Amino acid sequence: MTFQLFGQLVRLLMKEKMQYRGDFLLSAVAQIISYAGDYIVIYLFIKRFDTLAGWNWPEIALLYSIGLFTYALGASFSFVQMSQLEGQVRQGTFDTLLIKPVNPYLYLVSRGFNLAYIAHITISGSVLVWAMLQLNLHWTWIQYIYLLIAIISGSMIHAGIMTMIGAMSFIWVRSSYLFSLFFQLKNFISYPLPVFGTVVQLLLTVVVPLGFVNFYPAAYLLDNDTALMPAWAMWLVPLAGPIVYGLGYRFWMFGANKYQGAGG
Amino acid sequence: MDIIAANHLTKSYRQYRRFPGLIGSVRSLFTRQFTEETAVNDISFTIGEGEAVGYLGPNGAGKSTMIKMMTGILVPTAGDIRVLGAVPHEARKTNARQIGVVFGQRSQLWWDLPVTDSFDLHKTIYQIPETKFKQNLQMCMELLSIHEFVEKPVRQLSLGQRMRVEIAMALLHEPRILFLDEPTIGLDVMAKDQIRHFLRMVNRERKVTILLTTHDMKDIEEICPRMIVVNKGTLVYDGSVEELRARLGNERRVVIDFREDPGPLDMPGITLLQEEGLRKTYLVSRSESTVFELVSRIAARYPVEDASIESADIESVIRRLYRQLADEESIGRQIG
Amino acid sequence: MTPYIMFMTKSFTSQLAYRSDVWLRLLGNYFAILIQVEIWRSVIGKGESFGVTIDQMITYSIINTLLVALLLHGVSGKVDGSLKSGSIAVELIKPLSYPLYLLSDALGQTLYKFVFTVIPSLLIAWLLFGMLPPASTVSLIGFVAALLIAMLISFLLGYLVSLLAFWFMSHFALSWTLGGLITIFSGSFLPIWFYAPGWEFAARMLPFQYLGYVPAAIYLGNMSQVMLWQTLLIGLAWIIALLTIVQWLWSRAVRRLIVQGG
Repeated sequence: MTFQLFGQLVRLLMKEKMQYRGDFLLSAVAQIISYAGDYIVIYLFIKRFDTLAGWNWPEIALLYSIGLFTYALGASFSFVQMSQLEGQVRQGTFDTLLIKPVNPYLYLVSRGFNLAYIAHITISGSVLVWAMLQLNLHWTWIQYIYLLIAIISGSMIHAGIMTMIGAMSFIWVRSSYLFSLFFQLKNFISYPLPVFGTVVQLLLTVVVPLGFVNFYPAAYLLDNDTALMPAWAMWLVPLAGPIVYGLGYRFWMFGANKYQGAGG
Repeated sequence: MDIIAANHLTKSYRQYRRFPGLIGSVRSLFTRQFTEETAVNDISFTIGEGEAVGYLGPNGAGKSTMIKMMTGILVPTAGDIRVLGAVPHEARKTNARQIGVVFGQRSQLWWDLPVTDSFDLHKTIYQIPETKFKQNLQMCMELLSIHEFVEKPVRQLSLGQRMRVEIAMALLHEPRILFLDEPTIGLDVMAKDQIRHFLRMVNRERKVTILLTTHDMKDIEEICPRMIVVNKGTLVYDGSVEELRARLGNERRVVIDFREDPGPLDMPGITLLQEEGLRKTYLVSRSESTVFELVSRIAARYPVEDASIESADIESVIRRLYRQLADEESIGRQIG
Repeated sequence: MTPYIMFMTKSFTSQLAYRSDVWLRLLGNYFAILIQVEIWRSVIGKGESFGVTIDQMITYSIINTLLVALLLHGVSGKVDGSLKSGSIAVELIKPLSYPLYLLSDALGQTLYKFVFTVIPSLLIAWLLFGMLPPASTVSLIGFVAALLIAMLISFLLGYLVSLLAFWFMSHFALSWTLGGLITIFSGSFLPIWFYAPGWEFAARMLPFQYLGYVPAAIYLGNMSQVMLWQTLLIGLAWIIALLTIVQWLWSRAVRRLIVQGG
């Protein structure tokens, strides 16, 4: 798996999408409308109640946008690939991946690299910038770099979890309901963690570390209440992504091995 | 030199069962039961470099499972398999460069893009040098007449055109072995013919070892001098096509045109198969007497206009083999 | 009528095949309710705010979360699937009403979800979060009527989207747009009475409120009797309006399909 191969795949994927240009654009607009819906409801909520757990509207907008932006980045490398794996395993099309002289995971992920997340990225990126301007931040370059790293790490957390769920296709055959459970869990991080009880905070910090996607980095950057975590834990944010993603990859390879019959 | 060697190879699967009905579905919320299914059962054979082997068997005989083990997709449950001197699933990536695989029912092409794009991607994946790639592409495109539709998106191709492209692609990296899983399934006669000629050439002239599974005996007759027959996971025949014919094909079909209807023939060892006016087809078992003798005896007693002796085609030979196996099995069950 | 009941049972039983999903679905619903309950606790506390008590908001959230399982706008995906695979031709040859076939198929799935997800989830939610009973007998009757209206309106909206897809050929875009409109105007998370004035006006003028806000508000007795009947009547009017549009589009779509097919 080389960069050259990835580059060529992306070129072909773009060419493919451009065959249905109108459809691609319409879909992007529709997705923007749909996510705008989420923003509007939260906006209406905050407009009525002023703050949620001490977070005002631009702060919540920032929190939500980091969550959506990182989801889009992570999902472009994992969601469709992993959710279709179930069907590919059942129909046997997964086999065609194993006859190529490449790492099956890397090939699957790049072959399915999803350009459609441009819609998510557009809306969440714009709102993120808007929120940062509204908040009138006096950041040093360290904080900007921290945000950038947090975004990369958050994307890896999303991708890692979805990769693990996809790997369940090899073991459990059906994985789609785990995906909807994941999306339910993901809904928690649209709001500041202190809204929820300790159990949920622990769940989202230790078990499914979605708290590291947006809440912890945003809380540190905005000097808000960081719930369970002490101040030094801000440096766990850059680590969480690579760890979750690494685990996801290992688990996926374990699953693929099991599919081949090596793992018993 | 053996390029493929299977030694007491076995592969079994677990099949989870569902419980039927409403109560069953509630029950299956709590428990899981499975049965063990053996797709490949203690099979041994070797294939030498340059051979062309047909791998046959009825549906569910474990043909695809065998191909998947040879290509490194699946790991055997027991026994040992070597392809190009290595264990396929361990040397999956290195072996992948030296084998070509075509799945008749699973396309590897980019549906919405022109054929050339799939070829170019293949070149990158297999890291084929430019000159070698061009040469092989040229050769395949000419012999399979792909030129006419190479710029068309794959979705606009006919099934036969698509299969030609799949086969061409599998050969671009000059594999030493070509595996084909039902390459002619669903194709029309013309497309089948072209593919058979091409594969024959690839095997005879380019010395590529071929192993193919099929249901079409014509594929075997035209491409493969040797065949391996499996049934319910076990190997039932391994040898030349001629030999099998000699072993099972002790029956011949004789077509006789009569001048006038002779009525039922009073002759031992013949059975009427088909009747089209004055042309009648008989099945003659050779053990009774030589076919020629028999025909001349008929000609002496009845008004025969013309007669022709047909050798049993491979398809009926195979059908007989399967039937024989089924009979043996039912006898076995009765005894057991 | 019998073939439709048959379709319904068939789609009901085909759902039965999915073991283990049930547990995950229950857990998913629990999470969804928990999120909303915690949010309301955090802004309302234990007492009340803007004239609404925390218990009312918890009940509102439970109803809305479980209501999702009963909504039928997912039919558009089914139509889109048969359009793309071409099996729509087979379905149209049958001497049956296609929309009724779709409705019975969707009802079968909903019935399954009702038995295996909604009822157990309701029990769990009632035990863990507490739930108010309907405000009165009238509320209960009104609530059941509102549920039926919600199912019909969601079905018609989904069907409308699938018919529009005949022309725009982009079911994906249309269904995401519909999803966005439902999110904004159904009031399923934030009750419409909390909306800013302009938004509240818009929400009350549109049919999406019947897919979330209306049933829950009726259950909680948040409407006067007059307003309740008025709301239900407007709901019926929406059904008739949508039905008319859908019928008209359907006749044109069939014509188009025949032209394309020939």
